[in-house]
Amino acid sequence: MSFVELNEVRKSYGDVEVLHGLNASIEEGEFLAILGESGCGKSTLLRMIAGLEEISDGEVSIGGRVVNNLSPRERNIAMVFQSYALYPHMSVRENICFPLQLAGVSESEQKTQLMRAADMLNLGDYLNRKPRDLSGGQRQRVAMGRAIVRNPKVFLFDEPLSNLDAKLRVQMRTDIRTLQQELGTTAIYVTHDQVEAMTMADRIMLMNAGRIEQIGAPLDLYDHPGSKFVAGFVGSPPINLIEGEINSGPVSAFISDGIFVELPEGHWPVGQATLGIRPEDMSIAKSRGGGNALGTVGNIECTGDRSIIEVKLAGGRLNVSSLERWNLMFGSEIDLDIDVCKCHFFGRDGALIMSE
Amino acid sequence: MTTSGKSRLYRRADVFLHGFLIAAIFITLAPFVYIALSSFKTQISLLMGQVTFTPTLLNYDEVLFDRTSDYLRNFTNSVIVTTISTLFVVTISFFAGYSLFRMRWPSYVVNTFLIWSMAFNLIPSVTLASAWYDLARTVGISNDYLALVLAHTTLHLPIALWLLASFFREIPRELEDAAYVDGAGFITLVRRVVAPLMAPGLVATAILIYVFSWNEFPVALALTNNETGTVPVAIAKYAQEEEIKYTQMAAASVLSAIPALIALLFGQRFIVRGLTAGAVK
Repeated sequence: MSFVELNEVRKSYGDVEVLHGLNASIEEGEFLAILGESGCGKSTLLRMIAGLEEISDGEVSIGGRVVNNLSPRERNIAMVFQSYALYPHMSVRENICFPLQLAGVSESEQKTQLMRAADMLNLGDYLNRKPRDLSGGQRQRVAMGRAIVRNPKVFLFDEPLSNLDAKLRVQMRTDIRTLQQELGTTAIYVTHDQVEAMTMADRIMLMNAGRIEQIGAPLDLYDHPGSKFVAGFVGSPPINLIEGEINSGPVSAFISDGIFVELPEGHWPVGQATLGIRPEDMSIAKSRGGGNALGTVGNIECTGDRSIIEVKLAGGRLNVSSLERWNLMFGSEIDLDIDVCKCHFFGRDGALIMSE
Repeated sequence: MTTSGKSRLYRRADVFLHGFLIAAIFITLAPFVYIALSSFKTQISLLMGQVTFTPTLLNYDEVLFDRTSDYLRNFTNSVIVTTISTLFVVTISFFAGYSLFRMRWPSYVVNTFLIWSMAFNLIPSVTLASAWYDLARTVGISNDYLALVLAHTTLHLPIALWLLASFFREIPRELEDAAYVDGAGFITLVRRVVAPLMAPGLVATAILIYVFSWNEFPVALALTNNETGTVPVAIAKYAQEEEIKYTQMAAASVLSAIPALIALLFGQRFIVRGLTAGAVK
């Protein structure tokens, strides 16, 4: 049975509806990332699950109980905020124990829980410090500590890593995921960073303009994007999106300036379409003239483990990611092989096109 | 060469600015020093304009212990009225401010309210005094502490709201959210999170309101009698028809400044923060 359930959840401010009937179920112990651009409604949804924002319509249930009319404290959830939201006038110890005090937990039990959290998060040395005397990473860990001490049913994270520097972010990503797996607590994690979502989550819920675009395992979204939006959002370096058209003929093919991809057998809808192809799903053709795409070499970025080659086509450009090291001259002609099985085609409305 | 030219420029600016500072100190301190010195003179020595004199405590003795003097009673009245009205003002402005600045009011509501509060302070309190006197007499509380406490509360509520505004705005909303998620209700939120964070603002506001209320004269004059008169009213009474008792008046003034001075000494760091809060992030 699903643990957190969203049933036709809507949110309106006056006449303006910002969340349009969302449905989702999150399993117990699952780590779900809510991914989307800023303003897509992901934080609002999280705050509605937390009880900080009213639910205009629909139902949210946690652990089989509808929580629409319950206050945050009655929902037994814990939340980690982007700004950490530590109480500046309280020490680390007081910050972590605050929810326990409010729950009426005995002093000895408070101490036990405090020590457990401090051990898990390496906070032992800082317990008497005030938040202002801590670094960003330490503050983040205190916020985590405050969340885990009371054994909540669900962890809610609202972009908890966006105030940290890049290196620390990678470290905290692992730490949070490890902690969540150790505790086995259901987690809902809001982020606009697709790498964070891809690396941490069991499943990703990708949102766009108040709607759910797709829910699925990270690789599922990566390999089988349901729409042009999903394809474009997930993946770094991003997928190549080339405008063109699917023509009919003895064989169907996708044609654009400088690209010709023969489509597998089947009935393809004819007309304007977008080809989506990931940088690693193309390769440089060994022989000249035999590839699906013809262009000239642009900028090349070598990161050591791979090279990202920019290929300029007559009608656009492609990024090709290659594990091989190529000795290519800027401006020289280049042929690309495109694996048609790895191609995604999207219609004018951005929806996935498949052969019938 | 250029450096010495530059430093000369700075020196000239320094002299200019320090000159203003010295003038400001002189203007604010001189009357106080004059009054303090007068309180140790005899009436004759003061009226003769003697610069050197033998200090005497006679004025203080008369103000405090003379059988005809009501000063101690007036002082007690002032403590009662000022303390209660300050408590009222701080409590009401805290919760009203909480609603005004923390809840989602449309900005025109907040602005109208603040502009009205400012406009209220532009009305001379004398204008209100007679109306309040009539009102208090009708209700039957004239010459009662209650009338003056209510009047002082009304008089100082707007400025208290202004003073607290920036403190309310400084508290991040996420802290409130965090407290709710941690299991706090509204009372706990206020008691454990908002009030402690607002402490400097509340202390600064309380001290300033205390001082304002302590020194308020026209309304106190209208709403009190001999029994309930406050210190400023008492001081004014030294100016009688047939003579003005300058030196006793000075002694009474010096004594009346003591509670405010103590409060300011204790709270000065809060007050400086209170008046400049939000100015610099």
